[in-house]
Amino acid sequence: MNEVYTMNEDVLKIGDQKLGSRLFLGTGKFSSTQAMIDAVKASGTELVTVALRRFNRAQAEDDLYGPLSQLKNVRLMPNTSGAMNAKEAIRAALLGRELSKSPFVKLEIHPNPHHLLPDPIETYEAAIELVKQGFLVLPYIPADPVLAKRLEDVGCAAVMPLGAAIGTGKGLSTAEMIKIIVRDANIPVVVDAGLRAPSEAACAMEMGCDAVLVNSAIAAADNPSAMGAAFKAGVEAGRMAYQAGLMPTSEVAVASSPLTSFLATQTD
Amino acid sequence: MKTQLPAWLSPEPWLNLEFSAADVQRALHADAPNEKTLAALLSPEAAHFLEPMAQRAQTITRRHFGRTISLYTPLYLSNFCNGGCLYCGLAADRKATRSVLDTEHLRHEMEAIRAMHLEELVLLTGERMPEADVDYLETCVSIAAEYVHNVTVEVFPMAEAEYRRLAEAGCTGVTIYQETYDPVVYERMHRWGDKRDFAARVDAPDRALRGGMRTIGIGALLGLADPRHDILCVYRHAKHLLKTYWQAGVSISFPRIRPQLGGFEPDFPVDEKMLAQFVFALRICLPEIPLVLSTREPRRVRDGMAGLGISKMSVASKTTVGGYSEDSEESTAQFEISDDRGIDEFNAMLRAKGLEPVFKNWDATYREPARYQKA
Amino acid sequence: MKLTVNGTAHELGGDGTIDALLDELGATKAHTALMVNGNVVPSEQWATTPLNENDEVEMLVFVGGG
Repeated sequence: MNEVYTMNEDVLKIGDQKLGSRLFLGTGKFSSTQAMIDAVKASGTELVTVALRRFNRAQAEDDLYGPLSQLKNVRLMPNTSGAMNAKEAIRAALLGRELSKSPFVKLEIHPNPHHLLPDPIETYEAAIELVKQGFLVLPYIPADPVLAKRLEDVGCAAVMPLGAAIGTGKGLSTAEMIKIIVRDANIPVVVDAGLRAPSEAACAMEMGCDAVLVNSAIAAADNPSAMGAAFKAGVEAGRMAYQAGLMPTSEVAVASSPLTSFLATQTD
Repeated sequence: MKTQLPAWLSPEPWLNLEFSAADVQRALHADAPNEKTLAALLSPEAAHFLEPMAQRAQTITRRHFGRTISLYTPLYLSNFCNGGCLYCGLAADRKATRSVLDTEHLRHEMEAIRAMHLEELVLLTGERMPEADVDYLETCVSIAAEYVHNVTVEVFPMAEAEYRRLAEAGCTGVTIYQETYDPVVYERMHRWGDKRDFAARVDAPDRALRGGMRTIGIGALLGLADPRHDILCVYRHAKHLLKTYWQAGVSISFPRIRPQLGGFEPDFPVDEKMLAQFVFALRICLPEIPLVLSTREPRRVRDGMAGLGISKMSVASKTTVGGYSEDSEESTAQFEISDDRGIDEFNAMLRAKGLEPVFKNWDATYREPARYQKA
Repeated sequence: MKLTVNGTAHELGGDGTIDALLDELGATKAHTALMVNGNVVPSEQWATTPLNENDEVEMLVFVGGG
């Protein structure tokens, strides 16, 4: 019980895949491809999300396939952003797999372009089909414990409840719901969206989440690379703290008439 | 081949940990209780923290169940049994007056139960017998379901398809105690018959839920083996069921073998304080699930424990076949009732303690077999 | 042959295969995923898959996304 702590054995398993880092990175919203690559490297992530867009010769520099495929130990998880319904998401996932050659898909279906909150019904329908097609499905979902179990039941490899709406930086607004999801889940729980500060990533990990997915907080930082490193430290600290076992909060005992006096008269 | 506890149930990593007073205090206020929390609260050291544990258990119970106690009553259909349970007065080698309710007498019993306004019933039998088999149970369930909203059974382990037959007849829940989760003791206690199959019993709750039951009651018969071992296993068993059949209701009971004259002497007697400690510990670690105390316990203990972790109690129980209507022949009881108060007297006690008795929290309108997708 | 590629009209020459279209548009084959009339066409089939008049082709690449 008193061994010196090491993180060496702490591997995250998603389906049959193993990951050494519990920080997933989104690659959007960076000022340049180079800034993104630097942040990915600094973060130590082994799984990054990418989106699919129509080829445009005039914007060839947006094509991230080349730069990302140079990185060692980084696997791609195409997302289905832009899909408004299950059918579109399935098509996007199939296209993404053609390029990524990776079993991971971040299933996201957000029909409303303003808040980008996920559609649970379409997501559920798409998950069923994508699991059948052999994907490791990681759905981006509202922090709804029932939905999380329904998605687990149909074979999702993990669930990714949102901490707050995408890009809002409002942190773990859904903390109480995420705690229930973590408590009940048999598959990894990844907090996706909403995180602003490494301390929030640490907090999610302390709650027992298995990983976090961060994009805006790093991409929109003054120094994305340094923020990537900061999130790496935050995730590791939180994970370590979770494994170490947090001290409980204290409650002042309420003195009242003893509840157990009836036991004093026991006869057997 | 020696039966082993499956890894998902084994309490080994936590069983032999030693806990200090500081560990117990930490466990008392754990944010996310786990096996280690429970082991700390079950430890001998925690026996010195009975009062703070009671306070915490009461707070949690009030938060999740309000100031209420759910009521149910057992109905013994048959005491025929070919079982070899060393601790049971109805084992095949015990002198007992055997009887089984026919449908006419069952209706008399149900009328007596309905007259008490009780709406939750547990139908009991011994092991699988020609006198009380699945066909018989199916008939009894459908008759009982005419009278009360919530009919459950506490009978022999069955196949999934058999559970489904009962569910379709209107049965909503199954209670099945593992008796002990120690395979060695289990083998010694169950001298012959179907019940010797430890694994078939461990898996019975899974089969019952897959068969369409909405609720499952589990527990260990306290006194047979190291109770800390068994309570840790009960906890792990409950967690398994809660995670796998997440729509199902899981409850835990605390049947305790009490020393009795000329009867079975438990190797690990559990006294009242230990019983209380175990109830408090499980309440703290499982804030949301019903914890059940029967009329095996004396009225003083029942009065004291009501709302103190315990959220559900049997009432006005008869453990003889035909006991409610008293128009059947004599039959031997499975165990002696320690709290023989009638329903009015018991409810008056609850109300005096500021607790409201709840007769019904489920309506037969929803009576169709449950479905668990994953299973 | 008249096609619709990524929503705009395109007149395809060459041998009329998907490969020919990619060459014509200057796309990097290894970086591109492709769909014809809503069906994903794996890259191994591009050299041999003929396109037809009025086909709707979607050509996609990876870009940054969260």
